[in-house]
Amino acid sequence: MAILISGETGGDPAAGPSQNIIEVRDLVKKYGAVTAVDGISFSVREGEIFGLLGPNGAGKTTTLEIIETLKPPTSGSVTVDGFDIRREAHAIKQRIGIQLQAAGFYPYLTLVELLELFGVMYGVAVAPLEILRRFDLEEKAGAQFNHMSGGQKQRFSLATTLINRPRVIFLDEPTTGLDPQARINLWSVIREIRVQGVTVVLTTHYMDEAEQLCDRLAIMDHGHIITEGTPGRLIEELLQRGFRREAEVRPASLEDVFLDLTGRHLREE
Amino acid sequence: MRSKEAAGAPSQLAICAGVARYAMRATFRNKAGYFFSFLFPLLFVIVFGMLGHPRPAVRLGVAPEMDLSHPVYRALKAAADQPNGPVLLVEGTPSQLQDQLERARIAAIVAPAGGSPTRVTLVSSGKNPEGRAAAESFLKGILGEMNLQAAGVTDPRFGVEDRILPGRPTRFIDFALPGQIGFSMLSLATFGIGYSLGTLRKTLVLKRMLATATRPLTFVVAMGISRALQAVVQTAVLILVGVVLFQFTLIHGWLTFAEMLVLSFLGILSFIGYGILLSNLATDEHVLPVVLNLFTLPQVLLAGVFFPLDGMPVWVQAIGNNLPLAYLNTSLRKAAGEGLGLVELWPYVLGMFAWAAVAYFLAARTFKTEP
Repeated sequence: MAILISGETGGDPAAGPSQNIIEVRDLVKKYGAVTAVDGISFSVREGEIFGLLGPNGAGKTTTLEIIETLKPPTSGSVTVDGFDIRREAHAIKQRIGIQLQAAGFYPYLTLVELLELFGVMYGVAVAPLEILRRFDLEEKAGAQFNHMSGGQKQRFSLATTLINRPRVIFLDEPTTGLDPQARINLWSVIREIRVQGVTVVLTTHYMDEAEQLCDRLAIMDHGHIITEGTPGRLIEELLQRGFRREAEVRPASLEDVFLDLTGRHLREE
Repeated sequence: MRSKEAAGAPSQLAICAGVARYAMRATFRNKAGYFFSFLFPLLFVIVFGMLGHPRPAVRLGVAPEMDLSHPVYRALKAAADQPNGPVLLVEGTPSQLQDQLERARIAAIVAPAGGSPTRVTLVSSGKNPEGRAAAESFLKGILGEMNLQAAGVTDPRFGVEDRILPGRPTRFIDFALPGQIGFSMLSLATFGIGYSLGTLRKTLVLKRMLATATRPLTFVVAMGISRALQAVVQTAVLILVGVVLFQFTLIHGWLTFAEMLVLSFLGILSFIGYGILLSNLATDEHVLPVVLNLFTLPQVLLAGVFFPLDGMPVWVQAIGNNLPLAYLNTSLRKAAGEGLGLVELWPYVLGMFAWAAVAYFLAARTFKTEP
């Protein structure tokens, strides 16, 4: 599957490979007496896959939604591609793609119509069949979103994030609820999107997913960022603190057994 | 540096038109839903149409001893044989007729008068003075004409000619149908948009859609227009049903029909605005039907849907006559029954615009993307 994003691919010649595309400084979000996000700071580099990890209620989704300009922050500053979330929300919306956690789509429209509708809402021309082909959904062109399998839904959802040729996409738990084959498939789709120069920010509850997919990640709990770094460095640091697994790790996991027996090809359709 | 201008920010007008187009396509694809949204208004129109339709004919009993060649009987029979005739003749044994008269099923009994082959006796019941009056006035009319004929008068000196001035509709359907259209559209529009926005919020569709270049007011107006256009299609069907089944009056024909559709569009647009506003204000899906009913029910009672407001205290009339549904109902009645054009109906058009403007302003201000 080749994910080609036509048009610009983040081609600012002045931007070096390690330039930050997202800067979050001292971000706070309070809901009444509850502090959901408690003064976090981090940055995301252009072109990387960045993971935001943490238990439920850690503040991951709130953080994402503030960066996406869907929620106002209580205090702190956030810039996306140089634009301020408070003053230039509309410019940011034009430059980012969003996949919400478990979101649906407008009922009774086909996939083609939904892509066209998103084109209208972003003010861009779209080639729906071409997009669907890139995401292996060509056969489903005339189907409605609610009639598809979980993996297909997530692939379609991912496809809609690219309609406005964004510089960053945000994926909130993109693989939750999928079978192992569909997860592996989605990982390769996400990697290919990154290859085209799109920065990816995602949240997940699966540590193997974070390890496989993310260049860097931050772990959140109770509204704070506890640690931040590459997966390899975080594991290294833990080992240096003297951590050892209790049981000897076998060279294969149950997932390996499952995939060996059922195959790695997609099953849904 | 990258340009700070949102690169080619799309026109909200184009977005509005596009969203409305796809929203409409989605509704028409949901055929079952669309059909059922027709069903209730249609049933209401048919039931109320039947209620008003046959002008009550005077039911007269004919005594069995009446000779079929009796001149008065022949005149009565001729009147009864007309389609939708003003009189209905009921035959039966003396005791059956007596019984029907007692129960006010017939207004009176006509029997031959003893001793005269040309006179009749009208037997009525003291229990039913209205029936007696109706039977007597009808019979006197017929006898009067027969007397004139017998006297050879073809051009009577004294007489009356019919001239009906525009005013309160004289036929029930002409009062009932516009009211039913307004009432159906009120509940369809407010409940339809309220529930569908509730679902779009719950499934995060709204949140995702408004994460694009689309602004809330654009989206709100697009939903309003698409729903209102669908409702206008339904209005057209209801009017046609009224015309075909119940001879609903359209004074200037197709022109009146078109005017009614324009009026409906305006009224519905404002109802939808309130549907959106109330769905913003409802804290959850259980509160939603309550607030929607709080908006629709008082209007159903006070805006002259089922009965005119004439009998109400003045202050109630003042409120009732200025509700959005009243503007729609009254303007529809005046367009259909009195032939007033959109220009002459400007106070009502303005009133509906005013209600709509308030609704959309507040709806955009209170709009939320999540439940």
